[in-house]
Amino acid sequence: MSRFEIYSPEGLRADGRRWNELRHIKCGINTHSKSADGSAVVEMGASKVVCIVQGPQEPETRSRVREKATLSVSVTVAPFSTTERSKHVTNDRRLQEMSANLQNLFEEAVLTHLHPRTEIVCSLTVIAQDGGLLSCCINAMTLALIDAGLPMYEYVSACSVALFDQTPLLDPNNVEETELASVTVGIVGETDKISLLILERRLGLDRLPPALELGVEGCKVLRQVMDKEVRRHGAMRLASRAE
Amino acid sequence: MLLPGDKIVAEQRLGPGIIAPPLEEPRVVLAGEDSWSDKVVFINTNTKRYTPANRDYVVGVISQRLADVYRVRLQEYSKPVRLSHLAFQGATKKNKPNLNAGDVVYGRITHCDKDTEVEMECVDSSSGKAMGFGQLKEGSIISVGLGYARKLLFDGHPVLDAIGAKHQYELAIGMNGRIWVKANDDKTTLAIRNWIKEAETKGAQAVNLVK
Amino acid sequence: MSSIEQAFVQSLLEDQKRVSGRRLNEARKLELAFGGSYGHVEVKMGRTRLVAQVSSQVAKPRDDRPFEGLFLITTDVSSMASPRFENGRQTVDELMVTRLIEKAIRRSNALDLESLCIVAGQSCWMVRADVHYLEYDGGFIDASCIAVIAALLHFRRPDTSIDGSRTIVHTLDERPPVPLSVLHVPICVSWSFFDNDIIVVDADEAEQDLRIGSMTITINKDRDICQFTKAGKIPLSSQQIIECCEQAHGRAREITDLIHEKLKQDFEKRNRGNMGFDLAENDR
Repeated sequence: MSRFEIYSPEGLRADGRRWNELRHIKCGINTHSKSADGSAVVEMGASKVVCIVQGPQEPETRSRVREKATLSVSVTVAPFSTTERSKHVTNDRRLQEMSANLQNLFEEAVLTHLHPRTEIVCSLTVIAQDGGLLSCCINAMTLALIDAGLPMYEYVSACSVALFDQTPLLDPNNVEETELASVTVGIVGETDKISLLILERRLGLDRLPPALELGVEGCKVLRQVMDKEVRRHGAMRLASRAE
Repeated sequence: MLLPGDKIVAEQRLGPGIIAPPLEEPRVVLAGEDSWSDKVVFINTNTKRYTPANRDYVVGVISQRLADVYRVRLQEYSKPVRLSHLAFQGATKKNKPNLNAGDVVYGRITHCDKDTEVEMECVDSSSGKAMGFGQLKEGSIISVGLGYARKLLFDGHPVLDAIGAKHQYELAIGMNGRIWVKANDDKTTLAIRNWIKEAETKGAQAVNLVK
Repeated sequence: MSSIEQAFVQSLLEDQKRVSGRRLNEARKLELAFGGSYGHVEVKMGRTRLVAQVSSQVAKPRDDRPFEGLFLITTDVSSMASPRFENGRQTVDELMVTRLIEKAIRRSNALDLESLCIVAGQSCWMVRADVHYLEYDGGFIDASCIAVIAALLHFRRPDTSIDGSRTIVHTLDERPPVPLSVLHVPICVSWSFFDNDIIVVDADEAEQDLRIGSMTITINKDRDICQFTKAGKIPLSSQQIIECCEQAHGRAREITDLIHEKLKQDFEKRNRGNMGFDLAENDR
């Protein structure tokens, strides 16, 4: 793909967005109310992740009995999630690393010490991949944990930023992500302080600050979108109880 | 310096590292320095792994708290020993010490045979007095070789005297190679830690560091 | 870890001091030694000690990448390094170490894979870097990254030529071996977080056991961040992040210079009394 198709001189990206535009975000909470204690679906553009939370419950293995609740996260990628149907991989190291990162991040946000000697099982299923996989997982997990009624300090929100020369592009899709270097930024609450920062491709140090700034702004917007959905759902439940 | 197989002639009781097979001369079975006193002779070897023995003074870290016993770890990656909740000064069924995992205790091994779990106490059970045993608060712990720890405990060391001349400090030496140090402030504690560590390799020369 | 030791380390840190006597932003001294054969490096950082060995063999390239050679990094964490590691079982921490090294070196294209191609789609070089951990005192990621990149720079592969349809691999006597084409030198720098927003560089084992979180930056001399991993624990402002990156860059420059200097010394030693050929035999 030519470089102009990624970001045209007029300032338009391949899918018609400007540099600071997020894709369409659709999120649902309590989507699998029968099968899980907490569940959520998050769609960012064409990426879609389902998160199911079970617990807090008694741990299956003794090693998970600790003075704080243990968050165990597993990520599975559906074979039909990419354009090319891939073989089902179970023990992918990339996914294991992603689960470990999710676990570390959410240990900061969830008040795990309130549920000692328990385990909170979070299973994420990636239904469709079109860039921003990690951030989509983080957002889905936040909503599912809220739905499960777990005490949390704040919303955890994340989004990624790709860099086209000096221009940061918010929330890149798959094409942009494969062509350009991108960072995933995650924040806890409505702050400018960055909790999660993952970068896997080469990027000049001097190009990082604008990307971080844009990423944090994106996260704040995502937080608002999620907050709106949680409040909408809460109002709906209250209304049904009043009847 | 003696090596396994060396003969030894002693009127004293034979301690660790020396065996006396029936009708044969006593023989050394460990490599190390021979250590003589009026009553006993033994071989001082500088090993790392501690094997509990009766009446050994030890510094341990509580790893688990159960209904009536604590489990105390004497070394990293070793099997914990038992410490009864009642084996403290003044402890009764109603008035028990409140210790948690991670707390440090100084005590001695009371019960040690091959068939049962090793047990320790933090009180002199014959007199009921603390004898300096009990929980160690604040300060810091270092790990040293077992031979060096025994030497510090039984014979003393010029470095300890040199530190004592300069600073006020408290010390608990465990024969499991753990030494607890506490001075008035962290800076001094850290310095004392380093001096004791240095003296393990440098010997009496480490006294110069203190000055 | 006992609670008094935890309190001791923490209160020293709050006083801007560390048990090891280092400053908070001071890394341990790095020792680097090359072995007798090409691509053998031993790295020491404090009491952490590890060996990296690079080797090569001719293999078939992957079907989807016919113009590229193969590059593999394996790490071997065994109970030799510390009783905390069990043989044959990989914990999450070990997995993260492996993944980070892989991302830092392999995915940042430190090794030019296209230069390893011999005949497109037919044969290529497979370069392996094996890391063995000998002693553990924290900082595995930083040390192994340095070891692997230094080993790659030190390694010489046999020269090849093509005779019709045959690929000839020349022995070291026939032709001088060729260095690998290393495009840049990524260096990992790890930070550890403690309570009260204390950030410490290059933690040792005791500090690693007490820390609440960590962050690893991989950066090269040209100010390219190759990899950045920070997942939760302490929120940092972007200024703090940039400052950490700047510090990492300073250290990367230092280490890169050290590696190059050691390489120069090593090859001077090897080539003594030689006409500029760097044959492995000269050393013996």
